[in-house]
Amino acid sequence: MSAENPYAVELKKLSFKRGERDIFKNIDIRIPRGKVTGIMGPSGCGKTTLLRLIAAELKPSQGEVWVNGVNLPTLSRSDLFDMRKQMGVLFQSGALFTDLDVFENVAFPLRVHTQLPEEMIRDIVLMKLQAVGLRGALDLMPDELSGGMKRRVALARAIALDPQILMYDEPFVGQDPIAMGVLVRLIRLLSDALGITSIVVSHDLAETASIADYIYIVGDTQVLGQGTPAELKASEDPRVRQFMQGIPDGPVPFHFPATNYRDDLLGER
Amino acid sequence: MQNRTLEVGVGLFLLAGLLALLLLALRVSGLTVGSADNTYKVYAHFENIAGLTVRSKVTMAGVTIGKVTAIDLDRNSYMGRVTMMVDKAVDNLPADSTASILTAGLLGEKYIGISVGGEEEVLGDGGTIYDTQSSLVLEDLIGKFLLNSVNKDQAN
Amino acid sequence: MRKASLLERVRLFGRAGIDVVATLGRSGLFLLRALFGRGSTGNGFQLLVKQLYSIGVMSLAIIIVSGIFIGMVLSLQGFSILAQYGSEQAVGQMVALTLLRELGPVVTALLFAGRAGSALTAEIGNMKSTEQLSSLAMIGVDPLKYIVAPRLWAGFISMPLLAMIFSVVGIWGGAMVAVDWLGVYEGSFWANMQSSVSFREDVLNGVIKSIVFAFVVTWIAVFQGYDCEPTSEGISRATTKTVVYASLAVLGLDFILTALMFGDF
Repeated sequence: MSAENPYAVELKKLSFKRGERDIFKNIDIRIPRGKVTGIMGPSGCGKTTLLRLIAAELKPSQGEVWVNGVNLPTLSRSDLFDMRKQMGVLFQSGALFTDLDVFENVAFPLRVHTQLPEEMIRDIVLMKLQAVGLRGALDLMPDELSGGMKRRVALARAIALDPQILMYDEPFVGQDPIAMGVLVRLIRLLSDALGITSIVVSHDLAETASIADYIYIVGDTQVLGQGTPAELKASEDPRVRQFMQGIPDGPVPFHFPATNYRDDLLGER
Repeated sequence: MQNRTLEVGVGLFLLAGLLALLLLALRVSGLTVGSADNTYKVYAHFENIAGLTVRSKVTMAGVTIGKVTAIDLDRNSYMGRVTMMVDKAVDNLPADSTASILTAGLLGEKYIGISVGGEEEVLGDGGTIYDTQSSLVLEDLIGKFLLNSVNKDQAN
Repeated sequence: MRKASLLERVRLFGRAGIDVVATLGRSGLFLLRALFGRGSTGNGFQLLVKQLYSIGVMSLAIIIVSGIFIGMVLSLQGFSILAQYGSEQAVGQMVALTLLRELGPVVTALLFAGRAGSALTAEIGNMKSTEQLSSLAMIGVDPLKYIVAPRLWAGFISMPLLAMIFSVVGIWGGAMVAVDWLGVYEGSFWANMQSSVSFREDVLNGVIKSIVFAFVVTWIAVFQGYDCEPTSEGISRATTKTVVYASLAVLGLDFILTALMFGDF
């Protein structure tokens, strides 16, 4: 497929089961190239699973995952590892290598995938760290960093190889407002300045709506709604409305499926 | 550099392992390098070698001077033939030396004790000791005792 | 809960059996991929050295201390029994054979499972739960080659060395007690030992045993870490499993190996 394809990632008729339980059933998602796409939905609906499917860390039960014109599930294990050089993932916890310092963490992808001389690696690492504002934290170990700083270092590591696709797994969870603001700005900046295709998986409505160009809402094994943030806010679909406005009960029920409440209380044991 | 201490540590560990193997080989199992070079072969014929095994030691005056390397039956004489490797340092064993099968302690292992003879001629490589005293077989002794055929002369 | 019908119980039993076989298969594939899979990580040698340090060198202290004590106890016990038959000088032989054939490999493997094995499981499990393994995979580095393989090799190399060191210090401890304390004549102590210990039969067979144990214990430890549920509860369960499974495997295998090696004596 040519690079003209306006979509960097395409999920076609994708189903995924965990054990007997359906996580996704026959969903289609298309992520536009060079834009920030949000994937939203209630907790536990499989957003992170979706991310792992795009990264081919999990294999779908059915369907295709096309990334830059390659159907990932058909690749061999080692081809997959090559393919992943084009992708970066920012995990929820940052997932820094705890036995390496900040510099080595960011340098790691460069060391394993390139034969660059040491000075050049140093320059690149400093540039990436400067981009996330942590050049001064060069010699610190990961356990000396705050949660927000860890995520920024992890971001620097994720962009070390200049990937075309960058995925963020719940980047806003557990961040103070300042750190959150910093991350929002960074994600937008990276997308605009470097033309990176960004996929943000989150359930934080306000932040995601503020940076995303396009949003998918998933839940209940389906894509519930899609569109630009403005379109979704105006949506009449009750499931989309419940999520966008944070109504506790609705099409997505407040109660976990159970037997009749009255029978349970009064019935014989 | 921290890497350096790491490498040195691992190096010492590997050396310690090799040293352990060396100690086990030389000190514990008594493996000697090129042992064939400084020993010579002596044979002895016994009527009964019961209990003696290969690797049993050969002593003289309580000092170990060699070991048993093979035990087989001499087809012609129906006697047990024991092959011993004796240290080159003890190359002056008189030809009429006696070999006897002894026991260390009451129930201990069997070994060969050599008592010196009086002849001028010495046992060379491949020499044979004819004057031997066989292994003490407890069952035989008891049998003789029961049959009352043990007299004071034999019992000595 | 309703009482399970017989059919249901049979079904559960069958499922448990299939689960066990599946886990075995998964761990086998895991081992093959880690050891022989394609793709290198560049500085593999340095990774190995690092793991040799944290697996082998860090286990030295416990191995040496336990070795000395076990040797001393063997000597003490052996002496009091052998003295009843007037063959105290055989104590060296007894200590050496016991250590070389059995206690060296077995106790080293058990201590190794407790010290290094549990640490390996916890470390890899922790990497899994903090998504370090995932993020390695996303950087395009196979965690089987980068994380698992060096640890496996380090375990395979370390344990036989540790077992030999264990035997040596054990024999030394035994000699110390027998010769210096109980008054066994030093010459007969060593001479008896040397005349009864065969390098090929005893020393090498002991080393073979510990190579087998190294393989099994490290495999179990690393696999349990890699396969664990990525929660703190899952990690602690996996760590327990490592120690239990590894110990049982070592003891069971020891019986089989002993029967094969020394059975016809």
